[in-house]
Amino acid sequence: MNAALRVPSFQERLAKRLNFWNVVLVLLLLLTLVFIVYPFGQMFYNSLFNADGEFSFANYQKFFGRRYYYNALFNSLKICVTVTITSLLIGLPMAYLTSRFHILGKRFVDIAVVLSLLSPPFIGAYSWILLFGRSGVVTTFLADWGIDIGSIYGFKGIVMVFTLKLYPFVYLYVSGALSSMDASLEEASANLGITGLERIMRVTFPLIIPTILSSGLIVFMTALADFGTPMLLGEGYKVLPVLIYDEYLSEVGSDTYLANAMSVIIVCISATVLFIQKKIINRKSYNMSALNPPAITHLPTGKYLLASGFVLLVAVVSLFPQITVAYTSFLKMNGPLFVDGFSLDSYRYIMFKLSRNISNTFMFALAALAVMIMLGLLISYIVVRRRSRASGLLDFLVMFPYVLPGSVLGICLVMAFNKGPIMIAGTMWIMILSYTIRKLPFTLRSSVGILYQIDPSIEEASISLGVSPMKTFFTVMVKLMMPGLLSGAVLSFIAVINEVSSTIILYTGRTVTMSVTIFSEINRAGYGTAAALATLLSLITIVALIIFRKLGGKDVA
Amino acid sequence: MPHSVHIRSVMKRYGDFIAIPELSLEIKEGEFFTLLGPSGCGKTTLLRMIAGFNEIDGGEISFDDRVINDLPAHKRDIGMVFQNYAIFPHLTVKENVAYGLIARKVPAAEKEERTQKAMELMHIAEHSAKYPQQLSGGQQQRVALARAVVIEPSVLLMDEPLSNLDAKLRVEMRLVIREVQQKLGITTVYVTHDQEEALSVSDRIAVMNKGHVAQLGTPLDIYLRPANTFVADFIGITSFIPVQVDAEGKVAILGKAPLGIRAAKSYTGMAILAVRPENVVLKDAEGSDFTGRISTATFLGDSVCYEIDVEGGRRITANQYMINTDSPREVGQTVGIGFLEKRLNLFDPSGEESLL
Repeated sequence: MNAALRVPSFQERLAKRLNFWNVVLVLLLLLTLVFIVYPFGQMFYNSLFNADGEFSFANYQKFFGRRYYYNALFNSLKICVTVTITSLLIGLPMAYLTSRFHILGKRFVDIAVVLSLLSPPFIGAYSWILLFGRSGVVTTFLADWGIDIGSIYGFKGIVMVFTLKLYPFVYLYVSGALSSMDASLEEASANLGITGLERIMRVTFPLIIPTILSSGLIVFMTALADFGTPMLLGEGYKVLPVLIYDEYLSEVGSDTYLANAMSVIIVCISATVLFIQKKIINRKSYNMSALNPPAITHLPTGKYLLASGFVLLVAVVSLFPQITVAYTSFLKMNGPLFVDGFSLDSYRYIMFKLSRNISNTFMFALAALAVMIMLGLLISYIVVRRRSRASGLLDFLVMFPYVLPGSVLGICLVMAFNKGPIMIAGTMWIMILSYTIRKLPFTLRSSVGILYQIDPSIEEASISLGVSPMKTFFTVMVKLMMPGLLSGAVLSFIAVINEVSSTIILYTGRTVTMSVTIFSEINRAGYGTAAALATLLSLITIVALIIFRKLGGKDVA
Repeated sequence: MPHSVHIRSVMKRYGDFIAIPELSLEIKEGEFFTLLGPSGCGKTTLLRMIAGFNEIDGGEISFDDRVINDLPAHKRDIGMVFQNYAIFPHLTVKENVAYGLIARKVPAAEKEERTQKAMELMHIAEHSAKYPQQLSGGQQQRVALARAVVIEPSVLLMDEPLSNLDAKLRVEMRLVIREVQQKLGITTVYVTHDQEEALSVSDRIAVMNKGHVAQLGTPLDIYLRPANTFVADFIGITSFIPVQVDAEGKVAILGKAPLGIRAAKSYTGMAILAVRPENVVLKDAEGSDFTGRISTATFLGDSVCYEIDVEGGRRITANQYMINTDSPREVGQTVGIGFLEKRLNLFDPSGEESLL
């Protein structure tokens, strides 16, 4: 009888399965269960109870029954759709022009675009108020000349600020896709007699539809989740995240059950949008090998100036907030009022009074970064190289917070961890936890991308030479993945230090950070302090960005 | 010391798809054994089962008399050479070659010596401080080979090691591989889809098709006496011609005089005659029983390759060597066709069985 055909006993089967990666997989699933499934599950569960603790749909009935509430949903959707369209209208032509033609000041444009993307969202809103608000510099100046530019508050203002902040997603994604496209396709089109705008619409853009949709999706989701901008600019115009914040935190008449229900609604919307986008992308994806990268050509002088003018105008306008803020930070202040002359008072103030906020920001972000790198390495390996139903579940659970607006995640975490065995609400741990959960999807995706580029036989070579799979991972794979992973992690770091929407729910006096202080300083008219902090934050962002570029240039493979 | 490899009734499935239903092979110690077949025939699957990268779903594999089914890959003491080299990009040539020795905790002095020897054997000692990116494809494959043999493995496995090299380098490297294998006497299992490569390096070849062994034999056997039409077609070029076998075992192309071969088995009825191009003898049409019209003539330097249309809408491929003629025949010409009869092969209508 053949020994290997014997049915193995349970212990034997268990022993066979008990390898390093299966243990890691189980541990990671447990972690996601505790820190992702449980908090969100609890929020969903709580949304089904009324204030008296009885099971009911009262919260949802209240939401869809009162104009005040459901109107906020419509407002949110209206803003998101409009912003997605305007961002595409600006981002697409910009990306096309800069990736196909020589444009004046292209390097400056790239930096400006990334900078405007990486600042905390409400900085833009705040600066536009400084410039075009009711008593803004430009408004009063133009009013002296008898020109009324209308109000920046409400729908128009929110759309403008969001567009200027979010079109960079479209620009960056689409430029990437356009410059890695196979030029032969466009050449073939020209050869068959279709050129110019018609070629763009019939060949170029259809080929990169998945990228265009992904960038549109990010714009939509970011606009849906953000609450700093509509909070500052909305005034009467309420959107869903602002309402959730109000219901959850306002001193009078707060209704956390309703906040739960609204959170569930907003998550459903983003999940639906994500689902639709995935469906479309799966049907419209083309494999292109960029054997023949597109050439960057010269435009005739007239068109060159026109194109450069458009691109530079957008870049400069989207930098306005940064410039305004930097300028403001050096102004002399007397209480909330700007007085004549310049000074470094604001900086002195933040260095002495707010040094804790700065050190907190760094500490939390670096801690979250370390955890994210570790998890990114392990999870991406399991997702890519040890594909199974369990690894698919892990991937899904880790990516799920991608559809959670920051404030919703913040509320989830507070409710889950302000009692019971893991009581970390109000501590630095909950901040680090929140940053990790929220930004891990980005680190994970970059890590997964790198892993796909590493030949599986490299790993098998090491194993066949006698090094165990675990040791192979830590000595060979980690070394090969690190450069790419670190560059992705730097972006996560930048996103974390600028994070405000979950921070504002989670912070306490001891765990206050720079970004949230900027927000509260604006609200209590500490404009100078806010500006100085924001400038410092931008500076750190720029430095991190330079490190990112340096890392990105040094690839092992 | 060389080990033998015993593969007994192994089975491999991927979900519902059975890649290898049941396969047995005995690989002798020190033998250069090749698994040859078209893509999807299961050859790489089998190699990876020996290596420990694919689980064995049924049957067993043993090295000598040690069953290795449940031994993890890193404990199987195997040298493996991969299709895309799989050289560690972050290590120098020398560090790459020494990698397996470090894992085996070989003392420093011995490690140094063996690494040096392996690099010299593969003629890469002068590149020892370089990184893989600075090497050509052929040099990288030499590093991979040195890295695999320096550990003196029980078995050396090679997974299409030459398929990423250009044609000329491929010929050079297969000589190197054969020479090194002979010098070290390592039991080697080699996977390829390139029949010429297989014929040139192997002691024995298993031609695989759909997870089965279609034929097992020496290169000469397999080329001269294919066991079935699959092997005849896959190895080299073969033209198939329908023939009739009568009660006495005489073989004749339909309506023509009998050929000089006899079916060995008691078989009557239709059969398939297999002819290789070099065994077709072209004659003048006059006085020939079997004729055809030349439809293409391709000059290949040492020979001319003809495609000849014969009755029944069939085509026969024939080679005429330039040492036998001064002027190739012209397209459109009608020629008489004869055969080098002792080199013909005959199969039953299913193509599964030789009738010789």
